[in-house]
Amino acid sequence: MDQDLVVRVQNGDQRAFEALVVTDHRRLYRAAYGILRDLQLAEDATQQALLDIWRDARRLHDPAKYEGWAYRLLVRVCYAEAKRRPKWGSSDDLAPADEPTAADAYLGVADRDQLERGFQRLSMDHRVVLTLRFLLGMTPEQVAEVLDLPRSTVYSRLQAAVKAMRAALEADGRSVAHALERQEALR
Amino acid sequence: MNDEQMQSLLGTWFEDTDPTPPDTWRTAVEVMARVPQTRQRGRWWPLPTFHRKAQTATATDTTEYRPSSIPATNGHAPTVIGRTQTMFSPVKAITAGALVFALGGMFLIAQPFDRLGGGAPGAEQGADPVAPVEVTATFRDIGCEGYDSSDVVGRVVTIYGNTCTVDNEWSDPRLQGTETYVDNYVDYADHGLTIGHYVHNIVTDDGAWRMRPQFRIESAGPENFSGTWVLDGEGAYEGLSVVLAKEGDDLAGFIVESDLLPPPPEEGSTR
Repeated sequence: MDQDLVVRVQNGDQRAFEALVVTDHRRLYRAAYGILRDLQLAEDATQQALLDIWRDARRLHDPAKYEGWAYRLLVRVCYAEAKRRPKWGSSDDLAPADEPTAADAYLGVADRDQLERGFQRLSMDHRVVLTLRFLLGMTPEQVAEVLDLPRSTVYSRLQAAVKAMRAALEADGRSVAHALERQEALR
Repeated sequence: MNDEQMQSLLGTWFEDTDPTPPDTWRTAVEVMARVPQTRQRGRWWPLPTFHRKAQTATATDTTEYRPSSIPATNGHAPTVIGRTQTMFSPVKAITAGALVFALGGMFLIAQPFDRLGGGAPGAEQGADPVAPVEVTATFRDIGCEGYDSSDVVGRVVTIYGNTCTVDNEWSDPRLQGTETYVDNYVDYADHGLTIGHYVHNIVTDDGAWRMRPQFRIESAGPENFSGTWVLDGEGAYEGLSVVLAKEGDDLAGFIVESDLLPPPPEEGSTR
């Protein structure tokens, strides 16, 4: 991000802010969808985060840290969205499936829906760290910087989130297997 | 499946389900339409800030996040003897400042009244106090810019840091300036009740008036709460206070000398 653009936004320049919205919208939306798993909520959260960026721009002391700070505002909005609408993620709101890719073969281990269901069972804290780490590719240190948390907390959250995700998948796998067994027994 | 496989699976799944973002320009139009109603907040700290870390190189990529680089350790963890962080801490500095003020205040309070210059309440004064000046205003709420955070438990909503702008017309020019109030409030929707804790500040070219935090209660209809305001002067108004009664949208009161109004003694203490 161009630091001059951030400084101009801090000085109340609306044209600069419009340019910032255009350049920043995609990455923020991607992160918001990663956390919330709902297209409409992700768009609402992104728009609110962009307005928060405008509103609080003067409170950013160091423009060089804009990108991490913007993610922090977005995460805050996602928490608020999640509180307001605790039941998100109906299957209608999920991203449409793309054409089959090479990744799909790998995803055969646990299918996409299973992962989606497993992820939606996680707490917001766990969703956030997983998204920052595995979708945005941040290191745990960078996640700690964005969330303003101690590194040790991020490490333990990541570990717990991966375990929780695995447990959710295994539980889901068992329930699917159980349903299939019952279906088979009824025949 | 072990943790490593799970992590790898998560990465692939995130990539695979990455959505196509909605039209950026449409979003820009929608966001920009809300900008005029979203006033920018001021800086928390009016002075230049001290950065604890050196600034990193400017990231020019507009889509990828590039946080500060982590120093290379050549594959091994270095042993660091002694302090590894700067000793300066804004939190500690503010705490130290507050302690100095508190100790200074205690020292002043501990002085006999005749050494304080203002004299004991009721004692003979060296100079006549400034006569109270009557002031009035009509409260005009322009709108709120938003809040810092919220908490929702059932039908009880708590809002923190709701910042609003008002445009009061004051009879005394010393009070005419940029006015905002910041409110924390709990809204009990089932009872039609709101309890707030707020401050109201006026910033003028010559100084500012800062309100002592005040509780408010609204049981029917918003915004028309009544109460008593005390605003303390700063800058050119140092030593002055405004004491106001707010009845609905009408404000009426006096500008008086601050030290005419010492707080009452604590219960059990003696003057």
